[in-house]
Amino acid sequence: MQVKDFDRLPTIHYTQMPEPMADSPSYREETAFRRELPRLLAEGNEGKWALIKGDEIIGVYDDFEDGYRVGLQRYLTQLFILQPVREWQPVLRMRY
Amino acid sequence: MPHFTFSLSSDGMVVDAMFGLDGTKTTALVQAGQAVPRPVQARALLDNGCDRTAIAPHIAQKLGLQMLVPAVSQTASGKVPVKVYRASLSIFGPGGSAGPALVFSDLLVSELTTPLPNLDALIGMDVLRECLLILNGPGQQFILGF
Repeated sequence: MQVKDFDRLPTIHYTQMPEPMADSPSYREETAFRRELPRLLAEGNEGKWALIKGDEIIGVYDDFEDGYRVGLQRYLTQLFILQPVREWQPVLRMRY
Repeated sequence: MPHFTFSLSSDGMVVDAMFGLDGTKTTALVQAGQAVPRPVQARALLDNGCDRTAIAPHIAQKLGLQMLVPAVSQTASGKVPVKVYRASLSIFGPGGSAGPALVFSDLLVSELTTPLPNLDALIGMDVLRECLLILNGPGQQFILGF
């Protein structure tokens, strides 16, 4: 799967996403994204990518690659996440 | 078209694969003077019932992959959070890594939510859509062209 494939995935409304798992290494980042997503959507960022580190939205980027490059520049060996700013979030289908 | 001919195993269409860091991160590590982890070998099942390529947690740990895109996965037991990493994938022929390989330098792979006996990875339709795959059941072989 490549980033462009996100556009072909089935989706669910963001309010239906399962809660982040408390033992997830990126629990803080995922929680921050869930908290900030309504605001990001209201500000017209639909379709962009959010770079998140800790409890903070570091930036919003038109392109995944731009966000990834910034993330690597700032946090090369640390955890950061990128999330699609979308009202309808992609869902991966797995057999297992 | 280059192709590999493999023998069917008792687990199905199993190939030798290697997972590594994606090209962008490898370049960033080299430029920063940091060590690049060696790719990790994996026993991988070609699975046309799986939409996406998935790796066992130990591969992500060995490579030091960082979860990049937390995602939601629809499994038989419902919707669950799943980790998605960016990685590279090489599939080798029966002769091993000495010969040609099918290489994807930039692939988003999910983490297996359930351990699979004898297997380290599932090669899903995201990769197989780029290939020619012929199963010769009576001949106990399969051909992967690319």
